[in-house]
Amino acid sequence: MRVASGVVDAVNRSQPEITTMLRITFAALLAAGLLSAALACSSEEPSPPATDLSAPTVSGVAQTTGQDSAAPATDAPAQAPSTAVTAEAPTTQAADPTAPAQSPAAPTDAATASSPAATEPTAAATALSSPTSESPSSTNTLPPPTETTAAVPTPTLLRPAAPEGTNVGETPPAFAMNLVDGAQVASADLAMTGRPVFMHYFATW
Amino acid sequence: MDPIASQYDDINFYVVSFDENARIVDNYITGQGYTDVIAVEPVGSMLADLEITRQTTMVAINADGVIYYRQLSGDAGQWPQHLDVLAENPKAPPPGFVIQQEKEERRRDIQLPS
Repeated sequence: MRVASGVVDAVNRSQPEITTMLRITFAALLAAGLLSAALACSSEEPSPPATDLSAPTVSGVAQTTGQDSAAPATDAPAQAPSTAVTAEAPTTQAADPTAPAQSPAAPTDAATASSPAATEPTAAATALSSPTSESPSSTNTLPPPTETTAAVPTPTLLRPAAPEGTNVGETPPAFAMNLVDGAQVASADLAMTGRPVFMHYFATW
Repeated sequence: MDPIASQYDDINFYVVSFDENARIVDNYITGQGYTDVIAVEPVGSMLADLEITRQTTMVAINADGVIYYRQLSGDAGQWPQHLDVLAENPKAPPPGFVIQQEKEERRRDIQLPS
């Protein structure tokens, strides 16, 4: 009976650790799955946006997994960076075929993932700092389309300039007329008034 | 012409002498009691440039500088009703120009999806 009770006590004592380990592993698997899906979605885009998308997802999943693991157990905050690093390792492996530019950085992340926990916060820090450094570039890439759409003044182009001519709907050639007092009125002066002009060509005979 | 011109304060009326001095025309319209029209004479090749070959030709130009109406002698006098349109909208395009503009807009609307 004492042995059985001791085993039960040992199981009860080890249950929180087992549950935390299971949660950590599940969180890591979920993060890896989400990151692979995100990379698969971003594989159609060129490599610079792929890096922009992969880095924030790593940090975002790492933060969420860290928060999830921190909620139930008190030991979890110390283990949360390890989940973030384990989430990074599959992302770099998955990012290698899609983005060759990341291949030099991948071994370092993988090395930090396999290294002890003392080096893991640095990798997590780089993972967190990378989106902040790359987010301006992503925001810089977005505004140009909006500017191009806003800079297209189509309504002004819908009204074509009337060709020069003497028929209805055409702009007459420049002309000038003399008043009785000798002053001259040019067509440009008439246009400056902003009023319609009615001319009656007349003779007294 | 002057009784009609007096009804449209926002339109400039000019009586352009066809082949006479502006003073002759001015004396004539003054004798008729016209006060809302201005007598002028063409300068240079204005008549040839505007292809004015007959007297009593009437040309209306809207505020955008586009010929809105052109009437030759012998045509039915439709110009008073065109003056109503210009008085209402000084930049009113001539009817034919509106049709051309609508056609171009329709062409552009058709070309936009492709």
